[in-house]
Amino acid sequence: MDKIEWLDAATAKIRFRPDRKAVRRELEAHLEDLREASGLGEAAALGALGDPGEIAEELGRIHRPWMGYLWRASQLALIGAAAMYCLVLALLAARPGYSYRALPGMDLYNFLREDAGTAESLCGQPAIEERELSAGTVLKTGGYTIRNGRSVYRLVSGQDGPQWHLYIDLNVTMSRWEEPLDCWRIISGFRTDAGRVEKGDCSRVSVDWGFWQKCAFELSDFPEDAEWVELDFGYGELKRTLHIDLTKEAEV
Amino acid sequence: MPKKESGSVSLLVLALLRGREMYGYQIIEELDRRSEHVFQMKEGTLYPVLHALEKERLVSAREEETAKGRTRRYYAVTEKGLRALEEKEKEWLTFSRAVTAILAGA
Amino acid sequence: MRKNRMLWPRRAKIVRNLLLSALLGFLMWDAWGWPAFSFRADLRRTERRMLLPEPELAAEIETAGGVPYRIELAGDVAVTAYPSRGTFFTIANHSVHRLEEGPNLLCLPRPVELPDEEGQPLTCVCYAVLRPPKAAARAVLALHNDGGDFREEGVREGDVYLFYVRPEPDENGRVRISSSWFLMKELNYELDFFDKDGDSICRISG
Repeated sequence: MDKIEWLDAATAKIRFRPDRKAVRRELEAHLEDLREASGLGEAAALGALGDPGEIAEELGRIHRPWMGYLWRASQLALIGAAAMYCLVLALLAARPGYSYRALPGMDLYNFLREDAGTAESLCGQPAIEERELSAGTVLKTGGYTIRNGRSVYRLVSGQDGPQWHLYIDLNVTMSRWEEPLDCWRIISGFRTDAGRVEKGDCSRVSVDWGFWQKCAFELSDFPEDAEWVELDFGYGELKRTLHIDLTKEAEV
Repeated sequence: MPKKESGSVSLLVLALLRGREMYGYQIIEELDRRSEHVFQMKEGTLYPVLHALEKERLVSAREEETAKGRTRRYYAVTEKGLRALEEKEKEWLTFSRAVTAILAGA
Repeated sequence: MRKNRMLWPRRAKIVRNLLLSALLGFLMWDAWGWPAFSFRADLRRTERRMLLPEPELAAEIETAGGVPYRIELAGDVAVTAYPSRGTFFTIANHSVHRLEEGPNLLCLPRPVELPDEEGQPLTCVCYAVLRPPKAAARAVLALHNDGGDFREEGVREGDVYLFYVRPEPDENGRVRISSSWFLMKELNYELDFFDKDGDSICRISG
């Protein structure tokens, strides 16, 4: 029997190929160390190593293949997942209307920017006068927590003279990692002590990431002396109201 | 190799590795040297013992490539291995004291 | 060259690979826009985003081809939805109706295919009446549009009356349904309710 045959025989019962190769390497290294130290010929050194059949039986009992197969399966799962991820990104990039915002991490970056989803990003022109109001109340409904952040009254010059606009910041926390609340769509109305304000159409912005969303609205031509505004979320018997006090100014 | 014999070899291997980490051929050499040639086993039969110890996490292994391109696997005893060694040593000492006592009394 | 590498236990490598695969799976799901994994899950999510509580099923229509049409009721809001297959996931195509006092007639915004006596699919436009009068035992819908005049007996399912109006095929055997069938504001109809003795309870027209 030569070295190759001996090594093949000694590792024959190890079924998982990478394990078989590793053990083979170790035995081969031992054989070479032995020959170097003792000066023995190949046959004598192989004889000193012992009966390959017996060694194979013992090694086969110890090196069970199923852990190896599981490892291979996990490697394939990882490679498959990585390939699919690249495919998904490629498909998204090929969609019409694709923007850089779809890049991984971009939405988190946009969310973390200081003025993201706030009134600051809606204020187009400089204000003649500005009054910042303190944070309002919280509304908890349907797995969402809607909190009024700071709101701002701004006097802005317009076509028909200076007008007061009210900017409302909302911070929403969701209980699930999914699409954010379509705040504007589900607000059924605004009411103030100065009467009902038509919902109309207005500037609005919303950014979200994970469980969090920040949005802001601009209510144009809003009565400057209103003491409170209530936002009605939902319809009919499911309506919930967020009350915002417009008299408390923000602490500096 | 019968189980009882491999049990004693495990004890000896763990004891050797307590001193320092070694690769397979070194372990054989040390066994031979320290036992003054009493323990001379078929060298290939060491590896099932080492791999069994590794599987039970009594020893850990790392690979190193030598200058000649040979990959050597160094074995070191683990915390669990040290505890197992202490237990086996106690058992062995109890056993050998009992044998010595009987032989002395005979 | 000396290469020295610590050997990770195989178990740890398996766990690491599986965790990384799960992470990549999550990133894919996030990149694709967090699709829901079934029609019902997508529908429930849509309802959640409208702040609707867990609705009750008012009616479910099994169409030919096994596509289920759901009418769900949450307080004063009715949601009608059917599943439609996207690239990888099924989404819930829905429409939302705010209900008023008394019986509400609404139209399912997509034709429904029902099997006829021979099992052949027949294209129908389905109208549903929610909140019929409590004493109603029978409902009849008379509809007038560019397809002609139709008179259908309502099929009661729970608290809902369903009307399956079949447009007549043209001379080529094709069924043409114009948008006027679906626009409730422009619909020309009379809806009559009768009690168990056959007496008229009320009539609603549009």
